[in-house]
Amino acid sequence: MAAVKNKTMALKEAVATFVNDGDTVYYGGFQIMVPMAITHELIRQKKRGLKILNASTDAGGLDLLVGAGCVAEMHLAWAMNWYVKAPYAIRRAFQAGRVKRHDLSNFGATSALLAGYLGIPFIPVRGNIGSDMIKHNPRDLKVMEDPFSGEPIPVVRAWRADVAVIHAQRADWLGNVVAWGTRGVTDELGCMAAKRGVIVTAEEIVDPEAVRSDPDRTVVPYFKTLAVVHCPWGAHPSACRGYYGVDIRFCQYQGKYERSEHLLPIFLEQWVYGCEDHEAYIRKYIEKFGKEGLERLRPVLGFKPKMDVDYGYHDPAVWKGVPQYTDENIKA
Amino acid sequence: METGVNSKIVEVTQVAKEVIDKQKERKKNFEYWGPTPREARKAAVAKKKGLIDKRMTIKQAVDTYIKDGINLGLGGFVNTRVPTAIVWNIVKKGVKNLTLSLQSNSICCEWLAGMMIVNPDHVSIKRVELAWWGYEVIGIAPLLRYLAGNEMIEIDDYTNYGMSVRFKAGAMGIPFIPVRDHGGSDMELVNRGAMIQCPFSGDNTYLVPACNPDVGVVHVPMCDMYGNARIFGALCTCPEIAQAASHTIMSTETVIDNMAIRRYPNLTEIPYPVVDAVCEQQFGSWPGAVYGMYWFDMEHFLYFRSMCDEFRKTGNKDKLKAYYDEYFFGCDTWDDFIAKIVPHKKLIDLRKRDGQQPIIIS
Repeated sequence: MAAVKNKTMALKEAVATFVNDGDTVYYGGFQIMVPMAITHELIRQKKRGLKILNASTDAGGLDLLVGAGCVAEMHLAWAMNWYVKAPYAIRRAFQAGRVKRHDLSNFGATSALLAGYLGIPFIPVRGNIGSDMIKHNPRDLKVMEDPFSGEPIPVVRAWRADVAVIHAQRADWLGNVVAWGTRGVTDELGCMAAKRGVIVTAEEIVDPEAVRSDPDRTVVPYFKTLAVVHCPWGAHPSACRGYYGVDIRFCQYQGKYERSEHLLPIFLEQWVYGCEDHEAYIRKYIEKFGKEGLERLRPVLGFKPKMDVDYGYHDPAVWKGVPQYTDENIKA
Repeated sequence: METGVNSKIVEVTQVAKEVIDKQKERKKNFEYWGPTPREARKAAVAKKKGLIDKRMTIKQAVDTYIKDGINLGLGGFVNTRVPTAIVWNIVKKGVKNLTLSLQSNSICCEWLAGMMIVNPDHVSIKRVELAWWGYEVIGIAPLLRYLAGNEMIEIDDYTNYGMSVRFKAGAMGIPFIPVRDHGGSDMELVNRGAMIQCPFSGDNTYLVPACNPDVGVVHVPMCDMYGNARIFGALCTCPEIAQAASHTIMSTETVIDNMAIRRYPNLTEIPYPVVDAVCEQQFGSWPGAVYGMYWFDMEHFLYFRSMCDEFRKTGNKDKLKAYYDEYFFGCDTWDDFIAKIVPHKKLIDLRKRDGQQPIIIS
């Protein structure tokens, strides 16, 4: 994992190599930057028994994953396809007992990921106490006695995934992931805590030199990255800041398929199994809804930072050959 | 809950048994040496969240917030960005039964300790929760050695990481935080953390209590009049201390326009709602260094330290007393003090020596 090497590969290969059945997976994104291309690939490769860790997710990505039968367990706070108001496939799976569910509050889930990121076994949270969360999710949430004050305090277990899957704007071929703007707020937490590493799909692949020239925006360092996949539109129909917005019409279209047990297999057949990769999925989209559908998603107003920064590097080699500084008290 | 020394370290340590027993007692009768997390949260809620012009002089801020018996959180790291101007004003005002909480500090603690030695009725330190009190490369702190050796202060000793996460826990509003260090070393025997069983895995886990000072004092290179502060170079746990404290006094090298803060919001390290007082004070960290502004004045550190060391060896307070009389009580303001103690040319030199590190002011 920590090797310095070219980590670019095809999504098919990345998912086949690094995701096993039964893995605990950190599922990246929030309401935007949902790793949809990876979601489709997981479904295509019929991964089974995945345990999902996530704070909040939208655009129906997780709904498809559950609907396709890939998921055994979910630890999360919130899942939705906002534009049809509910994740229907997840609801059906819960009702049929096909998926185990471990609820936390949004803050509880973020704290659990933070504890994983910090490398500590658990972390206290002030929320959740007095709610049924404690009754229904003893796996992630317990109430302990604060040894310092003697008061009861809820603590959440640190969440550490086997593998994290995320989408980002850019990555270099070494695996440094660069993201900015509104994005999955827990991505850096979930990724740093991932035991095996991170699979990232990126809108653009850049040279490491570009990342080094502006290092502050790096959310995942190369040594955590397993695979870098060049995947334009990799978060469609959710958004990727600076590249495209949420495809509301497609979310609704997909959501209407999710709503019905009988229709969902048709959607999966047409848009996931029927497309050999994400490029084929986008080609299908253009065929069906026209290029203007994608063009509509482009950002209208550019917003580029005005700050011109200088990370000016000082080379310690200038000291080579410079004699030691001395005076009457200090001898060379 | 029994929080005695319960790890196996007691079987192999060379720490004397009576010290361990004393420590056991201390852990058992744990009390926060400042606001409890619950009180600190109440104080945080009670703070005004509006955009209020918080500019005032350090003297006004110190008169308002510094009271006898408080827990004073000191920002900065050893000699870097230490809030000397605020501490100088605190020494002048005088405060008794102080609890100091800090990650690492040098001259701020020593100034308070020196005053305590010269006149214990004016300044007195009761106890300290800390990771490090000393001058780093220059040497250990003679007055800490004197006070600790004579059992004049009670010490709660954590690791540097331990102190940082204690402030972090305070800032997050949680009562304690698990750490991977301390446990299995003598560090367990010198502080009041607790070894417990992890409720999920059953493994031994060391917990350190949150640290919430009554008043946090930090020095920053720049902030706006509401208290949004930028810090360049090392953050020195300052954002955590400012957020964990019930009241925060912030001295700043320069006050910048709020529009500048809004232009580059990602540079804001301390958010305005946690700040109570914004005190513009140039060279407010002298003889410490401020990244991008000025370098350490090593000469003064050496001068003051040698004076303290001489006291420790001889027990003669005269030089220390003369120092305080001339440079503390003989000056009205920090500006007078700087004018008196450090030549103008030297200040220019300190500015140059910083090497013009890249910072963004506008």
